[in-house]
Amino acid sequence: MPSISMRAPLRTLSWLLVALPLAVHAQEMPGLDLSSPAKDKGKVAAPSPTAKPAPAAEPGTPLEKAVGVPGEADAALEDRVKAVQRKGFIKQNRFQLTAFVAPTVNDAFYEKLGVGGMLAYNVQDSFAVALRGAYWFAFKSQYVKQGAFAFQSQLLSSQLYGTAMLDGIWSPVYGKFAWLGKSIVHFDAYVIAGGGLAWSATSGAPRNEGPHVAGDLGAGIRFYPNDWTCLDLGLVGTFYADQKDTALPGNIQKVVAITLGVSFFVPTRFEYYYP
Amino acid sequence: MTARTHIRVLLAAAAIAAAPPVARASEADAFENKIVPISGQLYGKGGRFELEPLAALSVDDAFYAKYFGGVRAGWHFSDFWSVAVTFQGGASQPTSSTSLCTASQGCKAATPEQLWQVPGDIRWLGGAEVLFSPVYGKVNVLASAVLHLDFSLIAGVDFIESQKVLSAAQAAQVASSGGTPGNVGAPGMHLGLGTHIFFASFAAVTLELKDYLYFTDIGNLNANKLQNQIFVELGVSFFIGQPSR
Repeated sequence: MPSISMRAPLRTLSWLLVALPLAVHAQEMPGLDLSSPAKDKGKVAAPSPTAKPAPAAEPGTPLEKAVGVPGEADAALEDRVKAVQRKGFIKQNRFQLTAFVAPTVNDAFYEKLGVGGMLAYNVQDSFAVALRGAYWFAFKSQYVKQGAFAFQSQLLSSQLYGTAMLDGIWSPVYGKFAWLGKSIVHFDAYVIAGGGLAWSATSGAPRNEGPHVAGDLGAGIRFYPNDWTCLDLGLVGTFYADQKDTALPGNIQKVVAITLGVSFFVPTRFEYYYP
Repeated sequence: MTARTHIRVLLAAAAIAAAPPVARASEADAFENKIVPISGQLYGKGGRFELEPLAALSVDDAFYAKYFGGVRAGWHFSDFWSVAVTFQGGASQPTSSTSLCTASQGCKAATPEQLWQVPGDIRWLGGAEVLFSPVYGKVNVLASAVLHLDFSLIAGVDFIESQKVLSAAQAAQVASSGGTPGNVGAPGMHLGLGTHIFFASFAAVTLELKDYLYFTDIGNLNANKLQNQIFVELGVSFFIGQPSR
């Protein structure tokens, strides 16, 4: 039967004495950790160029050790450490699958609701190519009836059924929001533009004109609550040529909609790269 | 490895496991858990008055487009809550939807008599509102400029003065007498979203989107109908006083 001598517990105790202070010291280390994490498979985890080191200072409190000695205004001290230090969310080389709804805001007579999806690939962190498609429902508002009474006329409208677009998405703006001064949410802003096809009532029988050439242009903002999803709020205009009635000249139809979407990213995790 | 060594290793492992967890930066962010990324609002609003001249443009109009000017005065209880009173008024003009087109004669504008029969010709509106601003952020634009901004949810009550909506018979009668329909007021409310984009401690650009709701009588339908009017408001806010923090 093995026996334990007095030296063994002493040796274990000495390990404990070494391990515990190391753990506690690591937990209470104040201020910035400016050391770079180990490089791994091409990944570089260094501060972005926008990160500025804290100015040289004579440290006093832990806050001053972290950010330097306060200047004339406390607000300036609070802002000494730049809030936008690096991107908190990386999209490069990730697929993005989005589901959205899009109520229109520019047709008071026939309000439309688009329901659709988007598959995008982020070629760069700030640029993606995307396939977007939507089906559009139309709802007649009270103004159709009021206008018909007042003007003794019929209101003609292009009936949009569907759109399929190939778009480029450029997101030159990113930042962070504080919610009630506490939680931090990363976001970026983007512009979207592209071309494709639109199907309306004139695309099928009896006129059989087929799909119309269309373009779209818009902008929006995306919030990133975690590593693999984002919430999307945008305003996108879709433009296509359509002739509502053969007796009238054709013109450009403008469908401007607020897009509300949720996106999922694949792969679900990301690693930080130099921009 | 002897049994004694096994026991030592187990004891040491248990001791390390029982130790408090070590604070450690994740691979994704070397700064994670080290500092709060936004350490405070550089531009404080709490305890300050806000005075804003503004311009407003209606959107999604059925019959009348509005171009208003106005002013808003507010008080910020804190960085998150404020109240304000607002007044705006101005001009309107018929939208392109009121053009009447025929295959033989082309398109022509609707007559005043016809336009008196449709709603939406708001003359002025005034109200009071509460703003909740839970979001404060900083935006890096093209990796160079940093903008400070907040976002607000807005709710308020209003009094909305608009042109009376006549029936066809009433419109014909007024037209023959050479008169005008006159105005009618109604209580209303609005909901909206807003943002301040700060460019100095005392000034910010303010952009708001508001949906005004009110009821008005529609002469031709002999009914009181809910009206829905969206305005985009752009102004410059001046903050008076020192922040409370």
